Amino acid sequence: MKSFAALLKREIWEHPAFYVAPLVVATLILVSGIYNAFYVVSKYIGYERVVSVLNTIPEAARPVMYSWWPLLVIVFNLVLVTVIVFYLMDCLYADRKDRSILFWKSLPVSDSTTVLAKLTTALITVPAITFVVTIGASMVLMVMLTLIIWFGGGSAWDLLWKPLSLFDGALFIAYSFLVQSLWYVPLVGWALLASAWSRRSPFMWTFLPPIAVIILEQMLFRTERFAELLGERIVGVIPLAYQVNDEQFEAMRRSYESGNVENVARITDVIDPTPLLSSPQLWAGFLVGALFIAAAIWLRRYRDET
Amino acid sequence: MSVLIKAENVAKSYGSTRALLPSSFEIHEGRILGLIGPNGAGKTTALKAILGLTPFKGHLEVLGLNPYRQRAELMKQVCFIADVAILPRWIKVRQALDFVEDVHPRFHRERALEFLSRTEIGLDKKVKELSKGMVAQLHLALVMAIDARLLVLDEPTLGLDILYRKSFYESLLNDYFDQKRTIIITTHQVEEIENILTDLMFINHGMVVLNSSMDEVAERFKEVMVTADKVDAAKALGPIYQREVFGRQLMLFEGVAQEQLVGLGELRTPNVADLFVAKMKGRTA
Repeated sequence: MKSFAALLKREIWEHPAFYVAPLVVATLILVSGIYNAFYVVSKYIGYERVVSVLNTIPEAARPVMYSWWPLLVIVFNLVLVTVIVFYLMDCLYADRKDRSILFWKSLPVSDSTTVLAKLTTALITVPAITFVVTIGASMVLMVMLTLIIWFGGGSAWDLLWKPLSLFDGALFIAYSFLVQSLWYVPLVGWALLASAWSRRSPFMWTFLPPIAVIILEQMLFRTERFAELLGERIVGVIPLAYQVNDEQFEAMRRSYESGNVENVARITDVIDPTPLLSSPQLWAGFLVGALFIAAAIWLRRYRDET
Repeated sequence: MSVLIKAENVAKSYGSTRALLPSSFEIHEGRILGLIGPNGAGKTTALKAILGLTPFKGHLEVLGLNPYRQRAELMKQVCFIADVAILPRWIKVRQALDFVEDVHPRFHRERALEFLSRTEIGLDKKVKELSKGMVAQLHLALVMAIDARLLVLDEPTLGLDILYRKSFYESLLNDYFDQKRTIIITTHQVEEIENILTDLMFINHGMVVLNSSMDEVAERFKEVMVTADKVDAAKALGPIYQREVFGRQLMLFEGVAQEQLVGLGELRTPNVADLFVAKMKGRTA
């Protein structure tokens, strides 16, 4: 256990991009936020006008109007996926390239533990770090908005903190990252295998084989099954993991019209893992992922190229 | 004394290149073995087989384990520095200590710190900021702080200056080595280690051409500075190697009784480097 924790820590030491990349994006968002809030707003719009506009939004509609969580998820998820793709290509390749693998192999850590630590890093560590940065950034943004509302003489509680639940947002973001990790197990497994396999250019081994399969299938069978399968694997988790049903939508509309703030829709209402967990695609993905990971472990263990 | 490594017909080929011909040998506990051979002789291949880094043919047991199948288990009791010190370039000295401490049950941090305090290495430096010699020093500090039953050093002092090399071998002998430990060293600077070795193994063209204790070596090999009038008599005894030094014949004999040699000239035990040259040339001649 202690050595597994050490292996996870070591991955963070080696790859500061895990926190640097989301922090850079968060900083960009915050800097532009500060510029807009305290320069553009104060000079061209005025705080009072912002508050009066906010006040015109009916209380029952605020929770929906304010929900910036999906937007944040999209932005930070882009960072997350980019960081993970580059990490995975590198993680079973870099130490073979610089020959430091001989140092790692001189320690009593089995190769399966090593590979599983890298898998855990991609599926849990990096999303967890990104999650913390995302929540941190949105808290700073909310503090900034609070100041704007105060300067305009409004109630930050009524206009911001009460309708925009930080807890719901955190739950939503954590759920988004989690289902993505589950859904992407086969892709992550493939990238680990490509990284363990490459003697040079893990980038090519990661991306060219799938492209080659698509082209070959097109040429031989004039079909696009594999491309469809891959496309579904890339975005297919969304319809499975999030549910907006008509009933909820109707309830939301009714409470909006009646001004009933009690039954207003929350962002967490769309969370429903049942269709995902009961979909054969998820479990087939685990199976395929497990095969790729086993192959990566085997290569790491038994290939001699030192 | 128990057998630590037992090899029976261990062989290894890379494609059509035969790196190690079927070799059988035993290495006992509590010895310091010098593994000597020219470049490409199969030293590193033999070591890699012992360390579980490469598959091989034949039967090999290290501490009762199959190194290839049970590497992680074996590494609890075995340490090695392969070739030139190759630590990950991004790691900080402190992180390297933390990491090894966490994954190695037999690592003693204070001992590593003690070794490091004798160097110029700062704990917050990254490996890529250290000189080549410092990286080697760091690697040695990490390895020497592990209570291993077998320590394998493949060219451990490459790139280090003579002062550090000397103090390294001294501390290897005085602080590290004891009767429960076994050390295997390969190096091209034979003369620096020959006085700490208890055993000697020569490898050439993938074959073990010599494997014996230093005592046996002294017993079996004699070097004679032959006086001019005895050259023919000496040649009749079949020297395995001869060369001329300052106009006099220096001959090396294997397995010839001391009494037969005494009259021929000045008698002495050959040093390892000369013996090595004799054995290697003898093969090719």
